[in-house]
Amino acid sequence: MSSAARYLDPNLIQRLNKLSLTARRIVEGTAGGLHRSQLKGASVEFRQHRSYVAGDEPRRIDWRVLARTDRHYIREFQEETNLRAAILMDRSGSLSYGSRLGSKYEYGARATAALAYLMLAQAESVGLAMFGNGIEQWLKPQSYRIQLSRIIELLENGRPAGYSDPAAAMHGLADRLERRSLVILVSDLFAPIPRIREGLARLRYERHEVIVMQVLDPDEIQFPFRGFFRFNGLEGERSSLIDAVLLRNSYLRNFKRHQEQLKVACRTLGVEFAQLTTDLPLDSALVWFLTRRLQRG
Amino acid sequence: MFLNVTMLAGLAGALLPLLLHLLNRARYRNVRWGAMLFLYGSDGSRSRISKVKEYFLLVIRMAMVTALAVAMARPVVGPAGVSQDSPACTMILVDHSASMELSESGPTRLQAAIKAALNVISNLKRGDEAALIQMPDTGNSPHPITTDLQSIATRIEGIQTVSGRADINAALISAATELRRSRAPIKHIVVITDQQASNWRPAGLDTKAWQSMAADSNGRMPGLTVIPIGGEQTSNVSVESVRIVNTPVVRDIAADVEVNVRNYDTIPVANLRLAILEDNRELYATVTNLDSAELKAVHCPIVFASSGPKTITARIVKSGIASDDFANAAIEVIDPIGILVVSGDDSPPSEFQPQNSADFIRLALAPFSASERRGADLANVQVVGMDAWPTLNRDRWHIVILANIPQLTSDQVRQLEQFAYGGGGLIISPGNLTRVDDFNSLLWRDATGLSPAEMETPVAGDGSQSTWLLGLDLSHPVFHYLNAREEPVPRIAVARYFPTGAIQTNSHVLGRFASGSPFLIEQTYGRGKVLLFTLPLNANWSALPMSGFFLSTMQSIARYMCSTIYPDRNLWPGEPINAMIDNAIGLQGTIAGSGSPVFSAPINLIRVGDGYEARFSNPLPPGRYQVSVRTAGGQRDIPFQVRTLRDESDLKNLTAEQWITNQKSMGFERIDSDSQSIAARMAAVRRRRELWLWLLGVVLLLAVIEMALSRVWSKSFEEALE
Repeated sequence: MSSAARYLDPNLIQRLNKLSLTARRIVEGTAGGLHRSQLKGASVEFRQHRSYVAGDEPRRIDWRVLARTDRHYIREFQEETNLRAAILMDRSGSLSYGSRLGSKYEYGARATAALAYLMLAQAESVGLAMFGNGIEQWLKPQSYRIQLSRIIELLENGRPAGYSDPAAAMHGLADRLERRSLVILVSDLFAPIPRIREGLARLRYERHEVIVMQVLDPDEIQFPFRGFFRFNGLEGERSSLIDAVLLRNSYLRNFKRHQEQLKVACRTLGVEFAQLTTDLPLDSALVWFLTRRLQRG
Repeated sequence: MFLNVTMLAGLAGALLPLLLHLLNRARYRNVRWGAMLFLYGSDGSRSRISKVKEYFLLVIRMAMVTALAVAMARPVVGPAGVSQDSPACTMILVDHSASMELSESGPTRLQAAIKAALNVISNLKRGDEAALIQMPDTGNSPHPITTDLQSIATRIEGIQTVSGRADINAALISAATELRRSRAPIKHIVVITDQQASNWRPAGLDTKAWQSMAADSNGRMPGLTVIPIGGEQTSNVSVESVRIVNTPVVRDIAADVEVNVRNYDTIPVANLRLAILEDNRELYATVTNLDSAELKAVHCPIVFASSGPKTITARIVKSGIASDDFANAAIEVIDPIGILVVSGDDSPPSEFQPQNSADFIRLALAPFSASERRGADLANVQVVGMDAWPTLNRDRWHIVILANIPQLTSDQVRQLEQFAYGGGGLIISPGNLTRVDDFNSLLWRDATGLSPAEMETPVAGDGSQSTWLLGLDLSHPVFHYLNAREEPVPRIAVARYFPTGAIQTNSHVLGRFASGSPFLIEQTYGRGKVLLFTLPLNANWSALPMSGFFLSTMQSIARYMCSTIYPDRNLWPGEPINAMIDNAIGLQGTIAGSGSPVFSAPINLIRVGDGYEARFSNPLPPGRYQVSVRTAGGQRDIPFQVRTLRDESDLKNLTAEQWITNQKSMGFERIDSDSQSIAARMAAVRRRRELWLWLLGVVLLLAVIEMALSRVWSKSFEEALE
């Protein structure tokens, strides 16, 4: 199976083509697209006049106004730009867990590829940052078709390992993004909530639109283990041999608290939050997610 | 100790949960887990708590198996070093009180008790000790502790009912005392009694003190078993008492015999026949009705035609307990009371016009003879003048009355003192002839003489200080007869009287005038009594002799003054027998009881004044007794009756709550009287206490705890998320 076929199911692509990803806010872009940019430049849709100041391009002076009023005015136009998106993909050790339907990393990678395909199909720029304990690989947003191949290659080469620090990754991404972008964070977010909040706050401070897609395995939600298990941490934590039945209540309590705090953090920071479980068909999850974004956009 | 030691092998099973635990741990599965964050919590404490839970459950499971194994081994607790073959000492307490004579269905309660006691004996082993304690104690209980069980059985077979209450508390104390003498390692007290509530008076027993008394040197308590006998019968009517109201009983004069009858049942009793008998000869019979729980006094007028000591019996038809269907009373029927009136007046008596004190006294005390008519008089009154002063013989005269005596000689006073000291009655009634100074010097003698009070000169006779009778001490036996009257104190005018000065400390004022001055004063002198009227008993100074009050009061006084000579011979248990005998020969007599076993004992006489007193202080059980003494006139037999207490007559049984309360406070085991129950209990006392049932309870409890904790600690996901 080719890399593209591994991450982009043809049936999924067919369904995704019917939808478009619409940013809820106007983002800055270089390619003219559906996304309204707040940058004013050369375009076809007039916005306003303003007085000429030194440094303005002489070709943007409205000569008709000059002829009538003997004053120098510059013509400004509303410019339509391409969407600039950066996908922040977690490749820490915890993403390697998978109970029945493959690992969370594979699921997240397929989601990332699907999103990239969708956005590139609309001539929008897509970038990818692979992170663990910070940004480890970085693919700048571009709108070329070949960008999809680069993204898939990067996803394929990425092997989940090590521990994750989403905050460090978000700080790193914020430093790298030159313009306002749509940031899509794909991770299980098994990290302390204050750190996650800190990273999200940084991105929001930079006025990026942020979507958090949390990828979980059903086992992590239900903790269905019975009997003695030795739990070996995937991010270097110490292992623990214990009767899982006796641990279940406290595990579920901790997990529930973490999820609630995560949702609160996203809501208060204006971040879109979606939880994906690996037992859900990916297309269903993405279609639900994109439909929801269209309704809100 | 364990009765089934082999089952202790099951203790190895306690390791099973541990082995399973270790096996499970050894067969653990590895999981490479990403969400370790939620396993440890924020500080790793969750994991430690889980381990504590795990070990706690493990301990509970091991304890469950351990308790089960121990229960199956049937552990027993009891004295160390005691085996089933160790000798036992058993105190058998058998109730043979009157209530045990009841027969409800076949054998009497006593027969059932004897059967149960023999059953207890038959369950003892060779070498065991036993002793018998009978309730109530008949004086020869407890029998000494012995290993001769056959002799105990023989004694048990010979038990008969007696009067009196079965005092279980006293018997338990006696049993505890006896048990301390035994060295047998196993000790047991068996109480065989009916369910009568009056047998049990826990309030009278200091349970803690008894338990400390009963416990051996190691603090071990003897086994305590109660075998209740008998059924639910509670109906009973008893003759509580019989007594003579107007003592002494005088020949040919109706005696007022009061019989108290009580119905203990909650159902009224109608047409209850009551008879008074003397030596099985019926003297009087009547029928009466009793309400539920009523105590009724039935008065029976009975005339005795002959004098002498007698015993009368009040009997009802058989009802409940037979021994309380009758009661006896010992009485002395006497000839008319001998009264000597020494009169200072010299006016001759007139047939129709009584003139002086002696006339009025004769009319009051011997009205028939005074009026020369036929009839039975209470007293035989002899009037003499000062010049015919006789020798004062108590056999002839019970009472001497000094009526308006002007002056006495020292010898006469000495005779009077001896007469009173020996038990005779003296009545002093001064009058217009009395010289106050002589009276005080001879009879008052600065509060050492016969007179209860010092006399003063009489008040003026002009009527300026006239008064009337106002206050009488109605609680005094002399005036008891007035109690039933609406206006007990008649308004009797008194023109003159003798005020009194000092009064002797042992005197008692029985009546006063409206002026506050005493009217009648009593003093005890030796064994006798002295009464002082503060006015003459004639019509010159007051209207007293003309009133009906005078006659009744004089007769009452005459009876009262005889009470020292004829004391009540019906005694309460424990009261000493006390008989006064004049002219006794020798200083010894005998006392004999009519009950079974036959009782007879010598009795010593002591000289008192010019007579003798026979006194027997040892407590005697209820029954009839007779003191016999040789006198100058031949042998004199004086009957006594020790009353039977009726605390057995109330047949009410202990309630279920009272049984429980008693069981809790005293810690006894209550069993049925059948041979199987007794055998099982006797074996259990030897076997000591088995704990397997308790341990099974512990197993169940641990199982419940284990299941509950397991369930709580492994709640379903949905519950946890809610």
